[in-house]
Amino acid sequence: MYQRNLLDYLRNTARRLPDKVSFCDGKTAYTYAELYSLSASVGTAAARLVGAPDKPVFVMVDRTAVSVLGLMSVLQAGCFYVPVDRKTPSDRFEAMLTQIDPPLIVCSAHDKAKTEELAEGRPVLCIEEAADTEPDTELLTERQLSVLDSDPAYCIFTSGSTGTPKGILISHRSAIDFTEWMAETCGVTENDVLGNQAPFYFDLSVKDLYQTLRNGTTTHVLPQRFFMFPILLANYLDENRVTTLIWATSAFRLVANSGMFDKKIPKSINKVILGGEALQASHLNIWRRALPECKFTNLYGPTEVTVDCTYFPIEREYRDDETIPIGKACRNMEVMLLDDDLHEVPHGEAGEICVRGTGLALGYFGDKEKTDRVFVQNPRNTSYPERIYRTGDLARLDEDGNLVFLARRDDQVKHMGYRIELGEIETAISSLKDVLEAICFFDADNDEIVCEYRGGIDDGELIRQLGTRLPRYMMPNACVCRKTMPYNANGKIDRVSIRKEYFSEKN
Amino acid sequence: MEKLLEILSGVRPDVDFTSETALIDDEILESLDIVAIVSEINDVFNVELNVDDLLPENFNSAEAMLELINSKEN
Repeated sequence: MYQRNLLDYLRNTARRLPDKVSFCDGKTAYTYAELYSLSASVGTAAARLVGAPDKPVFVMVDRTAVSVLGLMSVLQAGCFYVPVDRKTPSDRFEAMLTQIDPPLIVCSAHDKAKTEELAEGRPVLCIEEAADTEPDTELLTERQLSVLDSDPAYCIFTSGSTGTPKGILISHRSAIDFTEWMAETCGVTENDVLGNQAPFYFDLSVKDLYQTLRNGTTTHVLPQRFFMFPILLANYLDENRVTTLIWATSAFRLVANSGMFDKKIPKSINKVILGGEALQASHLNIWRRALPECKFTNLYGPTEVTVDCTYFPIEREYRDDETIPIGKACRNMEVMLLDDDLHEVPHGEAGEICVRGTGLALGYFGDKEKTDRVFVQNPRNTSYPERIYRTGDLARLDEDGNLVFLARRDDQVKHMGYRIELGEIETAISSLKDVLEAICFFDADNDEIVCEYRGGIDDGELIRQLGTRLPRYMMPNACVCRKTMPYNANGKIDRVSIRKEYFSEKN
Repeated sequence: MEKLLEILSGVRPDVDFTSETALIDDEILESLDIVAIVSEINDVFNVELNVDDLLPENFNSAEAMLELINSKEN
């Protein structure tokens, strides 16, 4: 019997709208029929190389339609994809490879040589070369039939506090449930045109991918340079009549601050769906003034709950200094605010956002201990096993019953839309040969990761050496080389006094 | 040029700005780098780069950036 599978979205839309463009990137455009048949070809080659279903397959992704083809091919082969940024530094890539041990790495032609070098002897499948493979429908059907909807569809890496990135496993069921809810709530239809901003290794892109495939929209994968040069972005969105932006709040902020709307307003935009970090009313107001008819929605959720677990449709004016709530739970999800002992906090008080429902991830790949630490028994349910996810985010309920995000409980920060564990950066810096000790903190006002360290290298060399270990978005924006470090009574680095010193000098 | 190179290496100490001529085309600089560079240039050179000046060809090399600054100073 056939199980629900994310690939159904592509299969169904390829039948319904075969000649409509699905994803395009300026160089390549695939119609739905092409995306389906090419993914069956590449999927056949992948299935032969992997040899069994339900295996993790790395896909080296870029801001291209070919990357989408790579992801779909893995689903065709009955496996689950692990999207990896093609620019991942070599040491970090090696750590991911060791952790997942994928039987296959899929990449596009321009990354083939580099990927083969990094693959440590594993087979590498070039998407463009495999596109000529005769699809083996029997093999693909057999592989797909063995995938249950509770099996993983993808595994996305996020920063890990102990220095190693962690792979979060999401099932087909969770992703389908979220996609269905989002289509109904946010109202994306086949008449919409999407402008994709989120990279495919970032879970925000799951919204673009499956809203496109489910609804039969056309999605333009926007090049990175558009976010540096706002006039190019505005012209492109306008010329291509883009209606819907499902963006990271950081990109939204960048455009708001760029002055783009003073020069050009892409008037076709009628839906903006945000997520990834706290939304400031001042940025929202710049957009609203430019696009008064546009509908804005604020979403919240960590990767562990399948993209998002709360939403807030913005339906009134906000003063620049007002806080915009993250709203109420999405369908099939419940949010509880709990204290350290997992008791519910009184209404209006701060508590940790804990989530239950279909969106919960299967866990962290190969790390039962970490999984058990944050996916815990629902304290309200003493009758049978039921997991909740402890997000580590603090929130409170406002008078309208909407959740308001307050802060993190730990050293996790949001920077450029990415979720970053400062501990991972500290571990990478401290592991450099010439560094004796290092600490990192976040300067939220300036959106900067600050590193203070003691050692025998200057900041330029430090950044150069970190280049093989950390992706660009995790690089410290300011480095301070210290002759001495202050210590507290326990003999640990006195983080509080370092932060105080830094901010008092800055001000 | 020296002042500019100081700004650039402050933002991206890992890049050799004296030799790179495709900072944008080769995707060496990222969006936040541009934001930081523009803000520093505005402060240090006392010019006002606006949204019209933000074009790839003005940021592909240190030389192109200097030309842009000079055109603004004049």
